[in-house]
Amino acid sequence: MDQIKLNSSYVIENKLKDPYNFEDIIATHNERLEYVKELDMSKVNFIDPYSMLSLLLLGKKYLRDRGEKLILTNIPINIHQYLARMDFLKTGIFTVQDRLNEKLFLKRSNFSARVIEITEIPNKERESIKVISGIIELFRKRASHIMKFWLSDQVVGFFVTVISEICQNIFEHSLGSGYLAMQAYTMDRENMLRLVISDSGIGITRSFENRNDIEYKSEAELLEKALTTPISSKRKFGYGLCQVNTIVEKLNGAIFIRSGSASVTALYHRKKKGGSYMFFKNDLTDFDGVQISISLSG
Amino acid sequence: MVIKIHKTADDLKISTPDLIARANGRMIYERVKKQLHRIDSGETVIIDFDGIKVIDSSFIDEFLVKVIMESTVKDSGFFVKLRNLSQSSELNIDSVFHTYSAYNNNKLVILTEDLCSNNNFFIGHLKNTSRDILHYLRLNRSGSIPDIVEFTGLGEDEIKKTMEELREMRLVRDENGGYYSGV
Repeated sequence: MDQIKLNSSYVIENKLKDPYNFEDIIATHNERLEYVKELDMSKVNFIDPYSMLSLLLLGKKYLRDRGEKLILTNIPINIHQYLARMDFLKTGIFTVQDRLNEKLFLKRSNFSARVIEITEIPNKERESIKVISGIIELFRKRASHIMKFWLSDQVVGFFVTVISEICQNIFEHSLGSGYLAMQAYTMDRENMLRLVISDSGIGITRSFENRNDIEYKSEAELLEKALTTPISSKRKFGYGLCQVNTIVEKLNGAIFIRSGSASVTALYHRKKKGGSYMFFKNDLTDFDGVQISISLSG
Repeated sequence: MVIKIHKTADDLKISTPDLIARANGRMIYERVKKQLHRIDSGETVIIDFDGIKVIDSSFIDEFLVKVIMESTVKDSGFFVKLRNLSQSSELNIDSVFHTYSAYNNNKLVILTEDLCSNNNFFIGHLKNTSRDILHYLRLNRSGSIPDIVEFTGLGEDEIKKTMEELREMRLVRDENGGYYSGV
């Protein structure tokens, strides 16, 4: 820790590949970010949409707590290109030490239409609905690229429902704002589709504080209930997250939900094969808001 | 009366082809409610979703559930049928109705003009007898209690109870002379 204080810089580990990897970053950020002004990205060779949005939330918290932006340094060119392509650098959360030469920016061609760039979801209903409608419009335009390996009217319709339901939860329940990003990519010869929607609001446990009738033994159990039963923190019952879970199951996909200090993962492609498919974690490092990652692979 | 949802959404400057969010559902419901005041008693209101690809659960809760509730209010005098639903919308409606029915002890079922993916002309859960009676009335246009007793092989009391449930749900019409007809 002395060394970190001295250098005022922290070399972030190459653990930005998926939600499970990123957990190690969250586990160390609390104590380390307190002492640093710079995040050295030199070791990072891949970053997935979930880790990108989570990094954004870390930066947002840093900005809120410290009143100054965290500085990103030594970003490898391919990572820098990707972050620029996903509009990460436009969010204004970080200061980037070395600007990328404009000639190196990735072209926004049809090939790169396999993404939905980072979009902020406001916490006001009217503004939020406009933004969500815009995201859905863009998704429909790019669906033939993003959903190339899963394309059908029904699957596109499913994803419209998923985007709509999760994004609405941000202004309905989180009391904060959030971000969405989506990308189709190939990893280890496997085609992946990842939709990530994360917010920095009050989290699921706090939003259910007034529902004394809903019993749970751990945070993870509450997350599982929110995912698999139509409970709501505001109404007698709700549809959103439960509907999302039903759709992910129909698609044999995976859903990861993290809030507070717990997470639940449902791997529905394993359910069909009769194996364990629901995994719970409690006692994780506390992290504001709700982070949801939905993925299809094949 | 035919209510074209796409046109209603356009009039209200709500973007389509996807109808999402509670606020949009409320706006369309308020507009449709004004039109419902002008209908004749016993009229069937066709809600046409042509050009709409997805309606999400929030929209369904604020619009469709309220229209159905309105139709089942005693002496409201109208029936509702849906037309041109996409498969995604159909699945979302089914999911909302399933949850609503489980939590309210009050079945929600709506008739459709087109055959749904559940092989029925309705969305929602009905017991087999009710489903068969709806098919019977669709094919035969009308039937008396004795006709339906004969068709189902069930007792008269049970059929009377079932027909009363279907009538209350605005899924069949109660004609004069002890006859029922499809909507």
